[in-house]
Amino acid sequence: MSDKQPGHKTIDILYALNEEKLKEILRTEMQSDEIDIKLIKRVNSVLRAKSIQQTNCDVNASWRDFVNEHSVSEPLYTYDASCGCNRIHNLDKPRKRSFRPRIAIAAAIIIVFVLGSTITAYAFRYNLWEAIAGWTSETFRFTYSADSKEENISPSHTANNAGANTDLQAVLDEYKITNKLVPKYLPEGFELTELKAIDMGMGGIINFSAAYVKDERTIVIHITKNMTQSGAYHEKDEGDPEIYNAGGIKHYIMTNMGNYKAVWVNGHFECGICGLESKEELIKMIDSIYN
Amino acid sequence: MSAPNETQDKERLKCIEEYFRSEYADMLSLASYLLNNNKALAEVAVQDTFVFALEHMDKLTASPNPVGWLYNVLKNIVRHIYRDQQRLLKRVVSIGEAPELRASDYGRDLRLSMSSFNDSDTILLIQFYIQGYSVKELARKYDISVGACKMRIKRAKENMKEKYSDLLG
Repeated sequence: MSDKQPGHKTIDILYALNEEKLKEILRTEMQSDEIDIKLIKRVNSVLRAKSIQQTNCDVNASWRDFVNEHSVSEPLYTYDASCGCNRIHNLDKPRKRSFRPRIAIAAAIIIVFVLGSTITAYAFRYNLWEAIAGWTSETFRFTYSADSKEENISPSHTANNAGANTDLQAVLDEYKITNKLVPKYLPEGFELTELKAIDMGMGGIINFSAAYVKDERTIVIHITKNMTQSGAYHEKDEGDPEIYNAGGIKHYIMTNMGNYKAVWVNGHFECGICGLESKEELIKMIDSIYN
Repeated sequence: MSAPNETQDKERLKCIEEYFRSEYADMLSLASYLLNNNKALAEVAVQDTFVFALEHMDKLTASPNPVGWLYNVLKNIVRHIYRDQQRLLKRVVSIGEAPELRASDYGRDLRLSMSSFNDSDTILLIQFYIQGYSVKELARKYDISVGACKMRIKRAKENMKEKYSDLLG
């Protein structure tokens, strides 16, 4: 796929962003398998124009250095394909992991809502609203090309929690949400213990969550409507997520503290399932959303 | 060196020069942003990317996207540099006078007591990775060639890793 936005229009849009956001675009781009060179060059030109510290680059002098010195001496660094990791930056310090008992929603999911400052909608790649997956050794998140402009929703009754609803689908029905978001399959023996619908009170963000418990284990399903541009962080173990396609949607499967979880975006909803012991059970749950 | 080899070397250099002149500035900017605006390290990253390209010209020219290939090499190298810089910073903080050293300081005005470090190679390492001196500047300062300077940096890195691995792993 190619960048369909005219070059000058993209530059105008990039100028509306601050330096940190532009650098974030570069970092994200350098993490992807197919680097968009044109985008990198455009972002670079905007950053150079905005930067207080001008980067003076004498290409002629650098070429002379290359010919006379660098190309005739051993390099300090060379490409190491065996490193196997194509992620750049965000090399977090290793944390000491301690056992955390599996408990209900608040601790099972660690979600940090990062609110953006005044964010102008811009066309990042192809469309105005697009989710871009990114991850480090310890966290995964989607960032969005713009704040969601989807119409705010409210339940058909005034209660701001799941109330007497019997399941998560019923809650979504109350909010007139028609996207297929809720698994119909649940591993045997798990029972619903907690159901919430919380209006975060900012920009129409609504968080739905359901917790299912069996013995000491908990499975949580969470759905967020109108996520902010910065997205939410999801904890994960080291390694790259696996992509599982179902219902025309990419589901990112990963582990956290050894348990399987999946995160994906469906329209203006960021969804997740976590706490599964096996990948097979997780995939069954995902498949059941669309069957 | 025999004449045919010289001709081949010149041809390879000529091929690389085209990419160098068109991409160097953008790659330097990009590496600089990714390495906390450390221009010296960014310069090493980009120069070593082109050294690798020169040595693997066949892969560069065979690639359906040679510029993308160069950026992938740069990405890989920047990652290694960043990792080395962070490791060195941790070691320096542990063995030096930590209160004077702030992790966010990557510039020349870093206040660091060098008395904690009693060999010139380690000081060279700190000046390169943390204080932002370029290889060329250090070579001039110590009156050695760029090649010799790079070798000393490499050696100092290995020595430090060996000497302080029990401290920091």
